[in-house]
This record gives sequence, C-alpha cells and structure tokens, in this order.
Amino acid sequence: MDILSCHVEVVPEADILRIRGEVDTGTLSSLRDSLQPIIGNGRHVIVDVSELRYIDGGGLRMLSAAQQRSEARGMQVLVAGPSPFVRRVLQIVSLDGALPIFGTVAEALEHLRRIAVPAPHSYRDQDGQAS
Amino acid sequence: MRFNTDPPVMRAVRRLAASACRDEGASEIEAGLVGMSLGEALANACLHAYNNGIGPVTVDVEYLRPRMILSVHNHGSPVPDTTTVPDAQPDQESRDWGLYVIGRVMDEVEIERSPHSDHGTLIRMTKYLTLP
Repeated sequence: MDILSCHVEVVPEADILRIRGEVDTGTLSSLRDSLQPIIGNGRHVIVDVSELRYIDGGGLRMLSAAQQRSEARGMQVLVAGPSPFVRRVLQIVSLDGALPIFGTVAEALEHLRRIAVPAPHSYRDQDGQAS
Repeated sequence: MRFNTDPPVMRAVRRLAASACRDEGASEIEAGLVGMSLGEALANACLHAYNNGIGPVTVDVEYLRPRMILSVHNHGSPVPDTTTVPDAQPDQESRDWGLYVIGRVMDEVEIERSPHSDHGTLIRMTKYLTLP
C-alpha cells in the first residue's frame, strides 16, 4: 500500500485534491506533483484531508505557499475533513486562520457556491460599479 | 538508537515515539504531536546536516514522568551558530518550518552546535505530557 496517494477531481466549483495517507519527507514530492498543476490555474482548490493521517512541516509549508499563490489570483485553498490531529496541527502552526477549514467537502463546496452568488439586491451600473 | 536518515526508517521511529507517549497515557493528539516533533528533528538532520541526503543519527528517548525527552544528534554539518527556534511562522522559502513546528509543540527545545565540522548538531526536546 502507498504511504501517500493524491487524486484530483474536477467539479464546476473547484479542483478537489484528495490526500490519503501520510505527508512526510519520503512522500512530500507526491503532494508537490499533485498540488502544483492545480494551484494558480484560476480555480479554487479544496484539499480533502479526511483520510490524511499525518502531515509534517514540509507539507504544511506547501499548503501555506499554495494558499498564498491562490490568494494572489483571487482564489481560495480550502481544507475539508481534517481529523482532530490534523486540525490541531493546523492550529498549532497558525494556518487555521489562513486556510478556511470545513468539516466536509460538501460544506466547502457550499461555501464556494455562496461566495459565487452576487448579493440579491446589488446593482451594477454601466461601469460595473456595485452599489 | 542509531540509524540512517532513510525516510521509511524515520517514519517508523516517529511512529514509535508517538506509540511510547500513548503507552504512557498521553492522548492520541499529544502523542502524535510528540512523534511529529521527532520527525521534524530527523527531517532537519536529513535536510541540513546531510544536504537532503542520508546519514547517521543517534536518537535517545528518556521518560521522567511526565517529561518525555527526545534527543536527536546528527553527525553531519552543524547548523549555523545563529540558528534559533522561530517564534513566528517562517516565510514560504524558509527551511525553518521544522524548527518552527518543534517550537510550537514542545515545551523546551535546546540546540547544541558542535564546534567540529563533522560532529553536527544535537537537538534536545522536552514535552510535559498531559496525563490522566
């Protein structure tokens, strides 16, 4: 069995990166290979960590860098389904503020649908300015 | 114990440390965090002392209830004498994320740099386990 497996699923709202196993020195390159092509491509990314058992400092640094690259393009990296251990790790290194955390992928998708919908009474004039 | 910084071996040792904490009554999360700190110290040895390669490390584990004391001694290039445990999250290019994690998890961290070029670095980390 692989120590780490990464799989990308494309849905209308985002690219979903499903990480299963352990991210450490021996597996970090697999995460990098999966993450790099989908970061900065103009789409939101949901990182499904519901089957992630372990992540080390290198993996955390990679998630942080991905979040910053996405944010620079107006996109988000969202984390879905962390175990209590992974959630605690994200808190300890202060990434829980930068990376929105959701209980499930469905909740993260719902969040993206909400932010994609314009406010019901907003009005845009000919110059595209909201009022 | 003395072994090489092979990723599968480091993974096994990290799991062993977590298991030792669980055996002493630490919670699953706390045990995992202690194991993580050991994993970071080993990864640092691999990255800094052996230039991302493989080399020998010596790990000592001492338990003085409730203190779990982990020491990792590498035998490669010592860290710069200015090395400290970062207080704040390092930037994305930094190679200090491991030390940052260790500093956030463990209660005490000491770094001893050898004055000899081939005697590496000793990092000693202490965690006061929260026991039932």
